[in-house]
Amino acid sequence: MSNPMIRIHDISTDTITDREMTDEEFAQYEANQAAETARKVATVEAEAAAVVAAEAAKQQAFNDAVAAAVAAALAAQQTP
Amino acid sequence: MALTQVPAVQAGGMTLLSTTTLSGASVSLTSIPSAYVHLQLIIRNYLPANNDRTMSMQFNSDTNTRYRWQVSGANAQGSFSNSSIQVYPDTNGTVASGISTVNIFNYTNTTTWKTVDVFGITNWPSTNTELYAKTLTGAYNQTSAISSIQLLADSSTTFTSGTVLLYGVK
Repeated sequence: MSNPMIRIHDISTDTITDREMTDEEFAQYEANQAAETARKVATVEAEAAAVVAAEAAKQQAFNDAVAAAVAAALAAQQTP
Repeated sequence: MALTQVPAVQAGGMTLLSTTTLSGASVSLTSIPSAYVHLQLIIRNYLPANNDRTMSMQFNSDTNTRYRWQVSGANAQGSFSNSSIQVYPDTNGTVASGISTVNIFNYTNTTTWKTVDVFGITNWPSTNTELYAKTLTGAYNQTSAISSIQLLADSSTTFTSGTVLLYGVK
């Protein structure tokens, strides 16, 4: 199977060259693509985890507020 | 009261250095002249061979993790963990009506890291009549002057079509 093509535009001469990647360039290209994909996945997962954590914190804060309000109401009822 | 001397207006503006049709897996713009203060890339109608793909950029054929980019609008702190800078929003693989403007500041100085800002709009990958816009900030942690730019099609795709214009800004 052939390697991907690349285009090189030399601005000083306005010359455009299309050629196949060398094996070395292709290996580097694949390594970079894999690393960038892994970083994207990690970023998406981190963002999703942050959303879950934020929702959990919000829920916990709500639960704490309800518990505090109930406790306050009970304390008020027990006061002679 | 003394009048302040106002400097004369300097000649300047933008010079179109190259126009290149996007093709293959990457496009390199080489032998960039050093006679300008800034560079600006205008990327038009990027159509990838697959849906939901971005485009990224490297300098001087440097493929190492010496880059960092993030969505603009927040302070950024962290390592240079990217091997390129994203320069186009995730785009549709069928319809291409987008445009991205990429500013590369003070590209010939040899004493600072290099900085980039990006504003791009394109066709939303899921619904190509809807807008997807992104503003990005990028950095490259090398002090060498920039003499070439590599534009890379996103993972597992190639450029179907599109055009990139490079301007020198004085």
